[in-house]
Amino acid sequence: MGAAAPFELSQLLRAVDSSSQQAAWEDLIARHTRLLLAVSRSFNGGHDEAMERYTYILDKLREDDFRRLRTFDETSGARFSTWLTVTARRLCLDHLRALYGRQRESAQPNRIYPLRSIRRALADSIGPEVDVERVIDEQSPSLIAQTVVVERDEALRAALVQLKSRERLLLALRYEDDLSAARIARIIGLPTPFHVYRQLNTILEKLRLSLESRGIEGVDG
Amino acid sequence: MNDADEHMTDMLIASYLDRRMSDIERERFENHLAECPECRQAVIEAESLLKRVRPTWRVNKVVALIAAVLVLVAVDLKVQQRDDLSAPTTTRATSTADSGLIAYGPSGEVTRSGLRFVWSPLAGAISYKILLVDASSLPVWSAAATDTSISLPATVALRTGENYLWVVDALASDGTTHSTGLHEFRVNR
Repeated sequence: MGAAAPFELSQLLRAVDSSSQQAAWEDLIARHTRLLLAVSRSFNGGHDEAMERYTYILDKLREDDFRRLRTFDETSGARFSTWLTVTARRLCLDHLRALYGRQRESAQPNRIYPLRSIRRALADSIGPEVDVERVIDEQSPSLIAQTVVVERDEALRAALVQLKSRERLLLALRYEDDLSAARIARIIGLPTPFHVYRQLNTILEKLRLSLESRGIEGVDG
Repeated sequence: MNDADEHMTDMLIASYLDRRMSDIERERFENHLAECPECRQAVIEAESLLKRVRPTWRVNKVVALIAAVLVLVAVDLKVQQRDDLSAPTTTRATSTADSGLIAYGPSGEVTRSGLRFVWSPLAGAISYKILLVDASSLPVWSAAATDTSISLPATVALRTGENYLWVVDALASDGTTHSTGLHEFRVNR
C-alpha cells in the first residue's frame, strides 16, 4: 500500500494561484521545520551555519517551481518525512561542497572490503593463533610472509564476492563503517542485535570454510 | 537502478529505510550499498536523523500512558476535593474517566478495509472530533462528527504492519470537553 503524500504537499503541488501555493508551502514547512532543523544541525558548525543550511534547503526545495518536491513518489510507499530527511541531508552536503569543495574521495578500484578487519574478525572467531599481519607489523616483513598475505587476501576477496548482497552489506556495515549491531539491525531491518551477531558469525564461518577449500588453513596464514 | 556506478536516489533510500521495497529491489539496493560507501553513509545518517526526530512507538506509548495516569490522578484528586468540601464544583475539564466517553473500537489487530471508529454517546454532546495519528505522532486524518461512529475514508492510506493511535474529543453543551483518551490499533492487512 502506498503512503499518501502529506496534505500540505498535495495542496502545494496542485495550487492554482500563488497565494494558495504560498499558504501550502508555509504549512508544509511549519510541519517539517523540526526535521529540517535537525538535519541542518547534524553537520558541523554553530547556529549560524545551521541556519544557513536550513535556508539553503528551503531555497532548493522551492527552486524551479518545487522541482525536488515533485520528485516525491507516493506510489513508492515511502513516507514523505523519510524522503525529506534524505533529500535535506543531501542538500546540506551540496551546500558544504559549494562552500569548501568536494572532499577527495579515495580512489580504491579494488576496494571491496577492509580485509584487515575481516581477517581480524576471522582470527578472533577461530582463536588466538599467530597473526601474520602482526608479525609483519612488528618485525621486518619477509618476502615469504608478504607473499602469504597477498595470497590469503586474494582468496579472501574471491570468497567475499561469492557472498550474497546482504551478507556483504553486513560485513561492510560492521567492519568498514564500524557500526554497532544495534544500529545495523535498525538499518537493515533485523529484529534484534542478536540476529546481527548470529548472521555475522554465520558469514565468518562461511568465509573460513571457503578459505580452507582454497587451501588456506586459518586466516593467520 | 545500476548496481555499482550510479548512486541511489533519495526516493530509493527512503523506500529502503521505510521497508517498502520488494525482495528483488531490496537485494539490488543492498548489492549497491555493500559496494558504495557514499550511499551507505546516506542511509546510515538518514536512519540516525530519523531516529532522533521521530519518537519511537514505544516512547509514544509511554507518553500516552503517563498522560492517562496524570488524567486519572487529576480526576481522583478532584473527586477527593469534592468529597472533602461536600459541595459540587464546576470545572471545564478535559477528562476521560469521568466523562463517560468510551472508545469501542478499533483496537488490537484490524484490517484496513471498512475501518470504522465507534465510541459511546456523551449526554449533551454537541459534536465530536476524531484524530488519527501514526506511530510517529504525525496526524493521518481528522474529522468532525455528530454521530458516534465514522468510517475512515478510502482515500486515507494506512500502512500494513503499523500501529496507529486515535482519540475522540467531545464538546458538550455546557462548554466542557471530554476525551476517550488514546487508543491503539495495528493494521495487519
